[in-house]
Amino acid sequence: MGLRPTVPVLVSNKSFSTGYSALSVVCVCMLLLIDPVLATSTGQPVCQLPESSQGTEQQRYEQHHAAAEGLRQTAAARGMEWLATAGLLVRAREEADGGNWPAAQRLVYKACLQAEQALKQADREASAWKHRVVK
Amino acid sequence: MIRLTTLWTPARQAVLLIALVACQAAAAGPEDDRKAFVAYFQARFPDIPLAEYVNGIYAIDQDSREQWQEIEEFPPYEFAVEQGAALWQAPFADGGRYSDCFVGAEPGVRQNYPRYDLATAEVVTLDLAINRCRKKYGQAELTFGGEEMLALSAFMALESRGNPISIENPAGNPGALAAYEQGKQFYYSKRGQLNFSCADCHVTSAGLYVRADRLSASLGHPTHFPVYRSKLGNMLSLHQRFAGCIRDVRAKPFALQSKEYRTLEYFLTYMSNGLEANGPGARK
Ligand code: HEC
Repeated sequence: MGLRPTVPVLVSNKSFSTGYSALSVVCVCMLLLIDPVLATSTGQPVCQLPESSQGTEQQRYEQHHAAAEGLRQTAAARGMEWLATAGLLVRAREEADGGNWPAAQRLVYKACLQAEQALKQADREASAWKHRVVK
Repeated sequence: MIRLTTLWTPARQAVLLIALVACQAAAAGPEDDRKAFVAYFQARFPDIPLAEYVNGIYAIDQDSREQWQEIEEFPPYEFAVEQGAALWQAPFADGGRYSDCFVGAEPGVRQNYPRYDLATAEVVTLDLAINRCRKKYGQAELTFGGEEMLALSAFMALESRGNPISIENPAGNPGALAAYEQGKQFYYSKRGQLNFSCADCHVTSAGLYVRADRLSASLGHPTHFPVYRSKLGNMLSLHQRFAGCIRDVRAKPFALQSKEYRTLEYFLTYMSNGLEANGPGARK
């Protein structure tokens, strides 16, 4: 998330005029609204390998599955979903149904990383495509 | 920082805004895009006459061209064309006909599609126009990519042979231009796990090999669809081919006749404006 470190800087930099910082606050808020990856990046990393601390296996799995599915849907909404992501989540669910938590978590993690990469690709391509236009 | 603040005056903002607007206006329009697209391939393959691009990879690859010409002597799409002709002629239950829906009552209208429909503010492809016609006369819509739709479009393509592709310049209407730009962005955007754009293969790598396949130029792509694929043993629509290439780069394909594919077809067909319609085609 290339934009993350710049967020606090822009918002707190007192040497800019108030008009400018107000604008940047609005911009950042809009970015957070339209981009769940950025939004979630302000807290915990989105894709995580399972930890053995909180909740039951089932609860941890559901949490990660929901996060990965959320990212997949965002990528799909931007027309940039990758081919294998949904299938990985289906296979993860099957492993979870069989109580095979490590395998289920690995598959969810893979799906999550794929969706995250797809969203980064979408961010890059939002402007990068212009450089490829035949001129 | 103080300096920056003082410089950041409304006047400066206004100048920037004007510059931005001027830049937008100077951005290349569809006709500039098309000319550049054609010029690129002509410079890249100076020995290939422009009219040849309608033959896809066979314009570039002499070895497979002979095989293809042999196949064309007994066209494998003939059956589909005959089926399509019968469908075209059969009146609907209420007496309406396909010919009532198309300008001049002609089946040979391939060269005019896709077109931007002002009434519905969307890109209408030939397949969509066929289904709109059916709907108008109370008929069930045909499945996109299904046998009957492919047969009808194959027949209409054959009847359109030799007509130059005549897509109206999208620059004449803001909605049309927006749709065209959407298709253009789709075409040039990298997607999927392999991170490829259409242009990476069909512009930059045209003529090169990807595994056993030699890559065709995008120029002339939409002129010859639907095609009979020997590998599959059936007809294939342009959107089914889009889906195949998108799947190949490990991205999730879109629904046939989705907005994504229709705007992509709109952009690509405009790039081929002036080339002759020569469908249906035969491919490996
Ligand atoms: C990894 C390379 C690759 C990418 C990326 C790719 N294609 Fe293809 N495409 C091929 C190959 C290989 C063929 C079969 C050989 C040929 O005709 O070029 C093909 C064939 C086609 C054809 C059929 C050509 C004909 O004459 O029958 C069309 C149309 C097409 N591609 C459109 C697209 C579009 C649109 C995109 C972007 C969404 C795209 N392709 C992306 C490799 C690619």
